[in-house]
Amino acid sequence: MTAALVALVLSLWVSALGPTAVERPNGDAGAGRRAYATQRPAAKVDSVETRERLLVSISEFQAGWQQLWRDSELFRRRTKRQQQQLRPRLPFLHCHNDGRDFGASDGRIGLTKLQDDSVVVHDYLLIEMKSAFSRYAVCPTWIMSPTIDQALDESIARDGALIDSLRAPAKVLRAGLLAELDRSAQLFPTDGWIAGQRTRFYLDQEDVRGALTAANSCQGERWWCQALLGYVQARTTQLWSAESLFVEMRGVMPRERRCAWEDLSNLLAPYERKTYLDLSCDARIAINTRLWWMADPLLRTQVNERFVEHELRRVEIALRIDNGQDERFTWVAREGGDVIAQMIERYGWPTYTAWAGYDEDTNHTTYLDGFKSPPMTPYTTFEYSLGRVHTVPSWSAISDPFTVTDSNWTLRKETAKGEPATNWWPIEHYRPERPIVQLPEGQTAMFRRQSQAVVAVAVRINHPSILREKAPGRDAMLLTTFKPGQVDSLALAPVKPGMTAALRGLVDSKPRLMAVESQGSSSESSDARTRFAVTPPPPLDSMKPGEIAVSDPALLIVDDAALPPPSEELLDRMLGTVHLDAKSRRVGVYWETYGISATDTVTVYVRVVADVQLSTLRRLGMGLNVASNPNREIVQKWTEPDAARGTRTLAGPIPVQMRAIKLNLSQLQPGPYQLEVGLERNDGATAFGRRRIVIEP
Amino acid sequence: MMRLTLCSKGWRCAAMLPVLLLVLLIVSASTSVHAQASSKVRKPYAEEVVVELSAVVVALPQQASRWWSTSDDQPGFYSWRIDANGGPGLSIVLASDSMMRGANLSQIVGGSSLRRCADPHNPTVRSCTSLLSDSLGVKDDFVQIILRDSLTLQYFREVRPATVRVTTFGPHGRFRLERFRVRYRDRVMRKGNSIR
Repeated sequence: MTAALVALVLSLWVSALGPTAVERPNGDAGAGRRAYATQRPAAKVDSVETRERLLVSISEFQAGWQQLWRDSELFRRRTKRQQQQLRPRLPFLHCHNDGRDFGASDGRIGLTKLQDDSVVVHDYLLIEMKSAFSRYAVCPTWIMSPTIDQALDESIARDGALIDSLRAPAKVLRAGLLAELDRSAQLFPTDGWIAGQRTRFYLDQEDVRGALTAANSCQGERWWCQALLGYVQARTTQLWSAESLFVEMRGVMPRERRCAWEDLSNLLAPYERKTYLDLSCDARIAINTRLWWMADPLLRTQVNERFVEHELRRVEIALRIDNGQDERFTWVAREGGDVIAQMIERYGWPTYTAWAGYDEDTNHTTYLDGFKSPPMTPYTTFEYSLGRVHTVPSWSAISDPFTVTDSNWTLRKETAKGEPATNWWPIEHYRPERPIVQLPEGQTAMFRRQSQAVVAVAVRINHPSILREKAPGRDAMLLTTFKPGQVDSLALAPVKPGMTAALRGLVDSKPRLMAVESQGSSSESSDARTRFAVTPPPPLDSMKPGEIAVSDPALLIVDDAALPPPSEELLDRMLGTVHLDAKSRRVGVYWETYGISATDTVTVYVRVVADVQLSTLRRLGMGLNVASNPNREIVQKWTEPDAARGTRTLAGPIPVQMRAIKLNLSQLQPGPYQLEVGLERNDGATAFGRRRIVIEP
Repeated sequence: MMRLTLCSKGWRCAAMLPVLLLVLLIVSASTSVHAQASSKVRKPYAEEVVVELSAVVVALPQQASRWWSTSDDQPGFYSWRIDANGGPGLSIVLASDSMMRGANLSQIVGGSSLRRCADPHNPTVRSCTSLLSDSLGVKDDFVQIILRDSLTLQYFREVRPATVRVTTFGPHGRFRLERFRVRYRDRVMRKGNSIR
């Protein structure tokens, strides 16, 4: 009885308990799930589902592409020597400094010089760009190997990241995706997102015609369709067309979007951003116009390449942020994608990204997980080709453009041989269509004319990369601009590499930017430029009767022959520098005086005096006659009228006198000096012009 | 206050003995059933593939999607793809046909099916249509798949890949690509002989 009862209770208990206990841990949902899976719902075409389905297809392509890329990178590490090339890259790949504060306001964290026996050159700055939301950071840098096995610049062709044999499979994968995007675009022609993805993937497929068709058939928001057209033109280097499309895009962009789109704070140094961000939207848009005007790499070309590049980057980011992920990188801000977007905005698409393998990924993910930060696999370096230039000026230059000197416009840091240096990293840079090099600081002098002023500029066209050029043909152009959208070319002259370009032109007497730009005739030639602000003197028209003035002194190249009679043509001999080396101790000086007639009695002087501050100790020593005065000076003084002096006078309401003399500076010690030319009229009125020169050892 | 007294005198206690025995029997029986059930429950293997004598057990991670933004009302597709490259290749997906609302792993798995891909070298979720009648479920943070079909078993036994690729797809274009180690526990020693 008991046994039967036990058996009954047991059987009931087991039958009630058994299936749940067996199945639940496995979580097998059984027939219900299978039935659900086999009863496939009819395809419901609505835009949300279509988009999600397309996102699945895009994800599948991107995952497939990523696998090909991982295989490519593993192939590139197949030998021990190739693996060695990875070692110096690891700090840039991991790019986290465990809370060490490097302190510098512009994000510079000091020179990391790595020693290694591999072929990689080590002299790079480790610049960390941190995510605002996660522990993830990126350390963009210059390309770290002279060549990368079977890699092409992926900023030009995305599949360049793959090895040769895997580019065709990538194209096959992408073709499948494009076919699906084409079908969806026909179904939803007004969907701007589909149009964007089609355009992007056609370009990645290197199918320009397909990309143009995709962008042209965009029926979404007008600004976005313009952006896509501009994007295609920019990526296919149709820069002029791209620029006008991007300008049009901004014009039709809704105001709120434009305010966000035109936020250029990432292009400024961190300590400058707050001032910029405090501006209202309208004020920011206004100042951006000035920023792009000043950031224009070459004034002589019709297109502002840097502006086009920026808009290209913005569209590139917009196309990716919408999807959350691209082939390799996560673009979701709170996961660390904010820093990827910022990097692309500041530096564009990298040339090469090195991946260290699955184990490094695991290590890095574990590190991030320790700080409750999401994984951002795969972790890579971000390496950029050399020869890029930094053209966006500092905030102080943008705020006050007419006080900038050529040092505000230094395009890049170079080695002594004129090669791009790797131990610097700017706030932003871009890769110009043709290399652009910085011309040295030249000599500028300004002279008054009736209603305008002559600006004379001389620059040596002696950049090492220009000297190495085989094609000899080259010109130099003097340009000026005083507001966005307005550029005047003042003079153009042929020059030979190594020679000085002396150019001059008439300008209105208002502050302005001046530029000397030199282009070679060959497609392989470098472009060269120097740029600075000037404030021309007031014209003769504005001088009051009796007022006198003296121009800047201009240094001239001289030889043993006597100087010709003074005239403006002497400015063709202007010295291309104010740094006088051992061969340039004998110079000519040309200057003009205004308001002095041929009959006025004046004392004229030329003085060269050391431009150094004397210490108190030195002054005391000099007072006690135990220390010498290093401020040795040269002074020449004479009285005019003096027929022997050869002064030339142009009569008029305000007479102009031109003078030129030879000066021997060989007795001066090396150092900085002030060259001053001046006069004193017999009524006591004085005037002078001054220039700083440097006597080189 | 009521006092609970089961047996205060010897004969009454003796009469209670069968009842106590019955309770003991039931308790012991239920314990043995639990033990039986537990012996059938597999422990999930974290992010790896284990090839056993008669099954291939895959533990797919929830971890990737932990960070993906999936609020309850955000629809999207979730799927996993397991690819093995060696030999003829093998691709299996765990995917749903329709959009999922929310990121509840049990619901996702409940609405998904396991399928084999026709072309393992160029698979897309939609091209993987051969349904596999294997078991799957959720354990802790893992989706556990137990593959028992002969083709899959044969593949792993013959090709013996050391790793497989697992791609986790989430909504809004999210995916994560990982490499899983394959452990082989299909060699059993019997009387000194090793069999597969």
